[in-house]
Amino acid sequence: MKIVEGKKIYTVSEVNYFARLTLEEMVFWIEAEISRCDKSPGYNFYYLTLKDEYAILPAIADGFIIDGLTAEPLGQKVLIYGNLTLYEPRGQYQFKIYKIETIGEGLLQKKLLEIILKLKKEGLFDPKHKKEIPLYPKKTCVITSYGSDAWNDFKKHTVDKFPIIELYVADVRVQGPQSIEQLLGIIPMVDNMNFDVVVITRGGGSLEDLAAFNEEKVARAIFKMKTPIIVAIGHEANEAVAEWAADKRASTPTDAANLVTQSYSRALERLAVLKQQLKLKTDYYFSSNFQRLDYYFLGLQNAKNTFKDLPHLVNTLRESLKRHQKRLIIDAQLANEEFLNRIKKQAKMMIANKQDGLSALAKTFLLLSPQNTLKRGYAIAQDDGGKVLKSIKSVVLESTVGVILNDGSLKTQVKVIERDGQKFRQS
Amino acid sequence: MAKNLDNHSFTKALKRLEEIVDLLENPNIDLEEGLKLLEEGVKLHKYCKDKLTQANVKIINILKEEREKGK
Repeated sequence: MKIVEGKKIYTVSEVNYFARLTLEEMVFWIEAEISRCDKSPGYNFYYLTLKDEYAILPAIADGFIIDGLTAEPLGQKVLIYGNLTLYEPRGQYQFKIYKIETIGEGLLQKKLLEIILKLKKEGLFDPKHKKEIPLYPKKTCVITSYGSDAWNDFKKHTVDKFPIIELYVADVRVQGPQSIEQLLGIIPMVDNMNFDVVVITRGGGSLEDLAAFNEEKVARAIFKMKTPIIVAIGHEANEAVAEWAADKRASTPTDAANLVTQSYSRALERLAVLKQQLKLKTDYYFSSNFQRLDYYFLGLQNAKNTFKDLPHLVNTLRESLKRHQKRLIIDAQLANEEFLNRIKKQAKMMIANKQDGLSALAKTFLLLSPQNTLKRGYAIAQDDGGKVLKSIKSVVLESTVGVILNDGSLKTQVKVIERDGQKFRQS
Repeated sequence: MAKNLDNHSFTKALKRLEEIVDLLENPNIDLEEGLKLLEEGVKLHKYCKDKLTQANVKIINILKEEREKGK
């Protein structure tokens, strides 16, 4: 600056310098659409053009700001934070960007709600359209960004755990402007490849990151699928329209993987339980049967002992038999003796009785004795031998016959024998 | 009967053994009959014990293999 004739005179450079300082005090949030975004050929920064319906504003931004954008910036309406500045060598007015944010979440949220309501009205989320996820899926296709965390999680919890699952991956961009187009291309293609189940998944992110999965067209493509489809977008908190249109939603890639493998897991658990039971039952079977055998063995042992005791038993029996025998003999002897005594006694008694009878008899006999008969005048004839003659037949002519009388006897010779009315005499 | 042991299933043999022990518990059992039963019983016992031991060893080995496979 110089003062000539009382005038303060500035150079161009100075003007631009002052202007820049003034401009740089003006810090704004701007809502704008990015209509141009060119990288500087030499340096890592970008030239942008911000615009609205009526005007444009040149802007510059460091490379990292543009590279850090999750979506392609061109054509996007964004919120930009920065200050005005001036490129001094050219006197060019421009906006220096410090931060770019996608337009208010609130707005997206509103748009999202509108889509959800619309699709709901059309019945896209109706439970009657939901297809069953097969219990034991084999051919499984996951639509995700290959190599991402979501992919790694999904793979870890499916094919790594259950190698029976054939896992195919359809690699797509899951955010950014190309993602919608890629999804719309891949979904019908995969649907025609006879997979048992298809899974669309990605990790969590901002609403903007998940934009493709809130896209109406993507939701419709998912709804049209003939293959059972599981959609898992983001983390627990996130919920995307695509999930609503799917047959089954899951909160995370891992959760989706568990849905695919749940029957396998259950089967494995069941198998483990069964195996445990098998072991327990087997153990019980063996221990109880071994015990039973031991018990029976004891029984057999006892029986053996019984037989072992037999000789002893026999001895004992013999001994006792002997004892019994002795006693029996003694008893018999005693009984015998008593019997004998009784017989003796009885015999004596009988004899005594008989003697009494005898004297009575003797009297009777005495009455009947020949002596008495002789006394009454009868005689007894005897032959030579003294035998009493009772019949005439035993008398022979001329034989000597003795005759006994009461007070003596005589001998006489037989002169006549009368028999059967005939008389016989010695001629 | 003892000759046909191999045709016995384990359960049948065990049942017969039980029967025999029951019969032998009768104190009035005939000596000859008892000895016959005892002989049969001892044979059955050995048969059962062998079978059971074999089966047990087999199963222990199977489970061991399972476990080694699982490692």
